[in-house]
Amino acid sequence: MEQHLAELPQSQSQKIGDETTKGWGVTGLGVLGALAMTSCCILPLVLVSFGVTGVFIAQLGALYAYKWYTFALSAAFLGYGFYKAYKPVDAEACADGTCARPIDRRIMRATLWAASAIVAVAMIFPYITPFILKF
Amino acid sequence: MKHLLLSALAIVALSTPALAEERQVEIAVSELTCPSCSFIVASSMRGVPSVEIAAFEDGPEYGQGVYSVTYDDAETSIESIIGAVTANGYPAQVLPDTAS
Repeated sequence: MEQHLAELPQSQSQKIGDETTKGWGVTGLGVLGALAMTSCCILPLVLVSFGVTGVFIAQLGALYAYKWYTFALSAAFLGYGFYKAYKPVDAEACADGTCARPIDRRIMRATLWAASAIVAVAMIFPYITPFILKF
Repeated sequence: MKHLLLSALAIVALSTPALAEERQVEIAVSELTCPSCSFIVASSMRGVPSVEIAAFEDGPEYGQGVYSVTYDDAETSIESIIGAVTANGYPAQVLPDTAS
């Protein structure tokens, strides 16, 4: 019985560690998805504004055709990331204090919100370009 | 004195470059498949000295656009403008009846 109690916190700690890794992994994929969303339209515009030239500029623009696929993937990753970041921590798992790491989750939440904002801007960008960009 | 004045005028006339002329040309660009593509191409054109975009119209097919461009032929050439656009991967050509 003593041995069982001694092993429990370690398994809980490992579980929490796995959850954190999974949460950060999904957050990272969400950020990549957000960057993919900007790659067709906003990124090439910014690069050209800074004087960057290359055939890849037009190739990035061609990614606009896949906008809904990148949006679906980004939304899925961000949604799962938000679930991980805001899911209430099991009180039992916190008994040994191993989950008392609020900074990790705060950064994760901020990253997810920033990525969501980028995705939102990328989604509305095509509709506002005639008003914000002039020839 | 008269000869000296004429010589001075001749030197000034010969040293001055040919009078620059503003030209207008229409350039057709394709593969404008994203919302910002036409602005990216416009930005590329404006990077060429003296180039200004007078107008832009969507082409007859999806992804095509026609730019009405003015430029100073003393400062740049049509080839430079086309080169600036194709360098970014967008096929461009001058509409034949507008090249002057």
